[in-house]
Amino acid sequence: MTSDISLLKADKIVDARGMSCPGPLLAAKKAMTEVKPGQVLEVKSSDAGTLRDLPLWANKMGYAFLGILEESGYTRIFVRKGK
Amino acid sequence: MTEKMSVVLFSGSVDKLIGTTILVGGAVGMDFDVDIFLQMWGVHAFTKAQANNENLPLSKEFEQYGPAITSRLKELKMPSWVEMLRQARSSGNVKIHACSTAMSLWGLKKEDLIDIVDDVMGAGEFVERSKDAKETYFV
Repeated sequence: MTSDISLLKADKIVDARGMSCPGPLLAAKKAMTEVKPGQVLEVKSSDAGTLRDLPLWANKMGYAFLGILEESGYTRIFVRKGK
Repeated sequence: MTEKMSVVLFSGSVDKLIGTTILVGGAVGMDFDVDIFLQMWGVHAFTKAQANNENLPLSKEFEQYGPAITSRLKELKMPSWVEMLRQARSSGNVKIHACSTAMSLWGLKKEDLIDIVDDVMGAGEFVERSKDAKETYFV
């Protein structure tokens, strides 16, 4: 597994930019049902709370939180299904 | 065992309905089961007559901010509290119960309430259902 998340290619991308909390979290939860074990979900979000919610959520659900990338006006959050 | 959150929604003012809805959405996201008990003004807000009313009252002490908040919510394209609650409910296990005493008080039948209300319940049963909730709120 690469440690440089900017090289990661997500298997599924959810664009939740403009959504307020908890919209991106619910969108991530829904999207994860369509992600296979070992695959990576990317969530684009402009909500500050989501940045802290998603790592907690990933941990709780037994997913691997891979990290975030800051873009202009939003962040890209990466989570892998399964450890 | 699934974690559970329990909310008593007594208020029917729109700011508190929005706040509650956000909390419930967060709980569903974090995989909590949620039970909501509607009392008094909470039941009133969930009637078909009121739920889609865009002019539900704000908490009394903040009434003067009403127009500003309404236009800001529109700018942010925030869905209505009913829509947000509907979304949370379809993303997890959320049960909404209406207090039987409030139903008699308002002279309501179950069919007078919007479809996301699951049933009419007594306080005793709700307290029983809530006894293993990890978090309990009164709004």
